[in-house]
Amino acid sequence: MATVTLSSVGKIYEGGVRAVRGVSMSIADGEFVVLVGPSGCGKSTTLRMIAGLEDISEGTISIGDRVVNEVEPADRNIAMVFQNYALYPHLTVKQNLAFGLDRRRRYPSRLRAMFDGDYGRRRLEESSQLDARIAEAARMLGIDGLLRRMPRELSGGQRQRVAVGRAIVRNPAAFLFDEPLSNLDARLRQDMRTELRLLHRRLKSTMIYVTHDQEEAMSLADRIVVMKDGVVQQLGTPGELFRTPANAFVAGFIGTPAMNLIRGRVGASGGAFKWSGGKHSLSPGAGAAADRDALMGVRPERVSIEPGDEGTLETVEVYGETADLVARIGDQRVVARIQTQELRALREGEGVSARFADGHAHLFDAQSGEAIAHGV
Amino acid sequence: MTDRSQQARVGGRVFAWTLLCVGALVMLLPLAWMMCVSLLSPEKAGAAITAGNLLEVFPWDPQWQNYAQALREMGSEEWQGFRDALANSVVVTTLVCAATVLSSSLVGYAMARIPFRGRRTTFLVMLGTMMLPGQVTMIPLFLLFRWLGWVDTLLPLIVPAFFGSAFFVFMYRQFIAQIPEALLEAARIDGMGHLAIWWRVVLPLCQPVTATCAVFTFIWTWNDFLAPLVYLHSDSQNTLAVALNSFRNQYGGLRNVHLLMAASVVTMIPCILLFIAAQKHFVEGLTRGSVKG
Repeated sequence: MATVTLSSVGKIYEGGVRAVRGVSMSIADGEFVVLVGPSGCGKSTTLRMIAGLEDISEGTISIGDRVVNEVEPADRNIAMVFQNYALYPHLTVKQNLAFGLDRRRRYPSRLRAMFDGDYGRRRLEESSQLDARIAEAARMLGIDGLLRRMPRELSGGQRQRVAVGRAIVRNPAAFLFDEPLSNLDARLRQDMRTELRLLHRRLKSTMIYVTHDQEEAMSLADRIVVMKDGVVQQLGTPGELFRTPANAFVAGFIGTPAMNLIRGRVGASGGAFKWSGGKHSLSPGAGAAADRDALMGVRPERVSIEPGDEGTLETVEVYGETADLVARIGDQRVVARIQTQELRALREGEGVSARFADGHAHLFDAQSGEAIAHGV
Repeated sequence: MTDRSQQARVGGRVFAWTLLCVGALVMLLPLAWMMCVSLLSPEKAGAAITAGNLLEVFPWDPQWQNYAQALREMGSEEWQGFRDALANSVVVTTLVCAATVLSSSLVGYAMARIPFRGRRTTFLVMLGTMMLPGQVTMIPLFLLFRWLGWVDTLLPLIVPAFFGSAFFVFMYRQFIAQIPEALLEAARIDGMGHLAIWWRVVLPLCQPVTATCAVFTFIWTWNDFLAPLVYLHSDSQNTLAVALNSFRNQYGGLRNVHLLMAASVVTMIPCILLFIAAQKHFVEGLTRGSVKG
């Protein structure tokens, strides 16, 4: 186990395309950090630079005390789980699990064997240690009955477990996961998420995980790194990101359904926010945003949509316990999440108004998107 | 409506089968003729090659001893000619097959997976060499091998195979390019360099191409007549394809056509056996990439 530190890391591809810029973070020993962001935000590139699969154009990456910029992937003592599992199709599950270890074990042993009459005994010892590690990892992941099977004989979930098992047996300093659950169906993804969380608790290893799914990030991470256009937007615990997003992008990205971001203007005294749907009173903390154009962010859970004449109800989406009401008010769309039992006789196409709960709005600068105030 | 479409389907199938049967017959006829002639007596065989009547070719009284006699009389010494030729053919074919598979797959891997300056140009130049007829390079190659002192040894037949074959490099490259990048990256993280990735991951996955490459190379090398004829001069160095020529007289006429046919049938056996054994992989290799997997 080890800390992983990135200092001003950047990646510039041939042709000058800049995929990652100025990424700095320090991941503590045993921490579970999730890199999240939309496609092309540089999260996978960052992970691949940590793995050593991409050259680092700027900055330094350290694993433990060692700067690993020029270190080969195999010598970084990391293990990586890939999106499409990357199991060797011509090897059995057991051989797949043993592959990395086998490589590490055999060559020094053979070299030693030239000068060492004790080679046979040592080889046997190593072999039984290897078997024990494989058996332990297989038991931990519930794949001990599959060791003789070929990867093509496994289901998607089983393959993913084998891929995770291959990482576990190596006992690496850090685990890297590159969207490992994105090929699984929704139900299995949920189960695997729980198992990964439990696995982290049991192994207490440093884990760095990449996903585009913010829900996955929220449920797994000790800390989340939100990225966009190759730049870190915010780094914090799931709670911090949810309660105090650093900018409008993070606010819109974290949370399901996404936070409503409403264009308007904060009054001269900072006491009210005027928008196409009317006026919303702000608490005193909004003074910093006084007399300027702003985006007001309100979580759908804090919005109520009632019969009125400010706009129309576009759709009602029922998800069992909860339902989302989507209304168009002026030129803006407002989403409210309510309990299904609260769903009144509102019909799609009818006139509605939107109201926001007091003290739960976030204000962002209209131009830069940077946060000005939270909980106002 | 259903009846009519069913009739049409049956009709189509009958037509296809008929066409395939005729095609198979055309392909098998020379083979059957060769086997028939190999079992005729010398007089009948001599008459059969000029006869227009197929019934005259049929061996009503098969002369099985023709086979033993053919192998005994191959070359200038009894039995020795066949033994030498068989040994030479086996050595050359085995080494050429192994060398072609190893070198072509290694170059194919480099072309598909190792980025280096001029890779595309090198690949195009290599493909360009496929357009060059063998006759063009025959004399320069002969002069080169003579300068190396390799004429009348098996080396000119074997050594070039260690430098890969453009056609098979192309096949391997296309196949290897389809292997998921993550698999090779996983191997890198597992501590493998390019050579180990090629040997332990890529080559086992290239089984269909390897089967195709091995079968084609085997058949071409086993049956190759021109190169051994050019480079091998003494009887003891002959391969089977050249040794068969000992049944012709110095003016190109046929001395013992029944023996030539018997020896030819024996020579063909390894090719047929190999094709049957590798058929499954071989067909998969040929059709690989034709549909999106």
